[in-house]
Amino acid sequence: MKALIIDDERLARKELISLLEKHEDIEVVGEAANADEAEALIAEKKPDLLFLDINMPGRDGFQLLNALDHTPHVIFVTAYDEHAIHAFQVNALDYVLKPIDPARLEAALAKVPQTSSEDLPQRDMLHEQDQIFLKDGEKCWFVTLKDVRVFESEGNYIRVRFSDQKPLVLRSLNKLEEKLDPLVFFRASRKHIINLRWVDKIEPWFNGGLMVKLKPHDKTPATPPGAAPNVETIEVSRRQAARFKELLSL
Amino acid sequence: MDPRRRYMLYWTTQLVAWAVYVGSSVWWNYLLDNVRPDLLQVMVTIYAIGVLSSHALRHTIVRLRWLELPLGTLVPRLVLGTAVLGLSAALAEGLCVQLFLPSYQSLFVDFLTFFEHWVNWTALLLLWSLSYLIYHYFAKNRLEEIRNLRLRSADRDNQLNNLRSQLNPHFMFNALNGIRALIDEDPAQAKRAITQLSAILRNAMSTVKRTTVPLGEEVDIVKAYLALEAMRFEERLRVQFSIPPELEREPVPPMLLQTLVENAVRHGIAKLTQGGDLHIEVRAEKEGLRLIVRNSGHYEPGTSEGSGIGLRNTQHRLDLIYGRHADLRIVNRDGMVVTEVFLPKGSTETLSTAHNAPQPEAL
Repeated sequence: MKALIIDDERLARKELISLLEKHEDIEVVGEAANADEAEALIAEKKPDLLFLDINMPGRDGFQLLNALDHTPHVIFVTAYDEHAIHAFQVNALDYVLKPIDPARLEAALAKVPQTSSEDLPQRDMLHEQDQIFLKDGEKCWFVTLKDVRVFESEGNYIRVRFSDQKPLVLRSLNKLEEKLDPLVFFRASRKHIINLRWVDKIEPWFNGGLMVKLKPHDKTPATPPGAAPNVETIEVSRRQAARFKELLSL
Repeated sequence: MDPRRRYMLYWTTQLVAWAVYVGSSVWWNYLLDNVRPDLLQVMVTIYAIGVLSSHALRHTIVRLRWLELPLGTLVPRLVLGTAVLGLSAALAEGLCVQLFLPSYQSLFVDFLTFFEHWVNWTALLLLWSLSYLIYHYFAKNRLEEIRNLRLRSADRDNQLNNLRSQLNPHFMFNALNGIRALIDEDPAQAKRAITQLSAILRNAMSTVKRTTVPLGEEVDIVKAYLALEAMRFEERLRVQFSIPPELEREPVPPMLLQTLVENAVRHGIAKLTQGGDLHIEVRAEKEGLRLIVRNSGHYEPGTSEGSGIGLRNTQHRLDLIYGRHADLRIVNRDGMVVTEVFLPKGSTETLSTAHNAPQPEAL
């Protein structure tokens, strides 16, 4: 597994490398001293795992993750930052504290999924197994794309719906559409991109459009008997409806 | 105990105690087969006089603050006070008997009879005041103990907060992490780093809080701190000192220069990807000492998290020591952030006690 170490202190990177030496399955493919270097190295080396310091000059660790299209698995590394540690704990993110306790590092590594990105073709495209990082205020998530049902544009922001969460993040829907796998994600209208795997039913709608009903997710509240079921619906515009039918008949 | 409950307790004890006294007198008379039809009136009279005179005694004790007196001065006052009140009680008793209980023998037939009653009342009141004093002695002791405990814990909280703010955990843990890596790379430097870290820890934990330290000592701490930061930042931190050696003995508030330097590193140089320069200068001027810390970067008030608090604390400390004659300011000049503190000459000694952290308000 390819790992990248991102920390502004050379000694801190060195310390981590020496701690990782005994893990033969982990190959450190690069070191970055700031977010800019890291971004370039991630594009070049395509690591599966990031060791990421939060406090860095320039952009901090969270800002770096926000700038990435798809994020590898991340283990945060920090010395003492009450805000960050609080965020890690609240969101159940993997983190280790400096000076690093080898046992703690071991535990964090054990949680890293063993799939290698090498198996996936075409790294420029975002696939449904890919993970994205979302941060809305204090809360942050690593979400696998297959769990996202809908991307909905709200001004300059996108609301991302997965499970019972719907954080708002600063991205452009058009840019996102270019990167998403077109076989899975479909631009239903100016406002929406939907995940086709979540489509349950399709009904004809006004003006030649379509109404898509989505499958219930794991946190969908149970419907009381007699009441209308709580179903998420997304409208497909007339322009897109033809393409949609074509896509589904394939 | 709040005053209302204490007052309630006083009255309950007071009324019950006198009732017990009067009740036992009745019983005594009963045993002596001395029960007369107007005994009840007599006892009610004695009860009323007892409650009133002892209440007057308490009033005197509280009013004249006798509880705060040492025993030697308290005893004669108490004896005199109870004698006077005993006299008036005996007079009141005599008058009541004279007016309402004609079947009784008058108290005023001869001096000895009256004197007997006077002594009796005085003894009763002395006994009463003894119980009163004993109760207060214990209550006061307990109160003092609670007060002491609270003071001690408040003091400890203060110390802990001071320690935490001086240690700067982010710096501490990063330094330790760096040392861990140095142990393999450069054991000699790792040893030096541990010595420097110890110097900083020892300084932060020193229990003797001095108002001022010689500038030379403060500079040593700053140098130890910067050496550790240099271990982390390496070529990104470029330090330059200009402190004339003859100023080494000048008194400065402890941790003042250190705080300025730490701010410059934390909020200035640590934010710069390419790192930056740090100049530390101390100048003797006619009216005092000027500390100048310059660092690369740009200062925007209120943007950097937590920096405002540190500055306010420093300003507050300066006000306490120098009474607004000292001056702290931060400006942007020639692409550098310049932090300047002016310490007026001589005023530290006169105002020295003010520096000690204000004691928490007692109960």
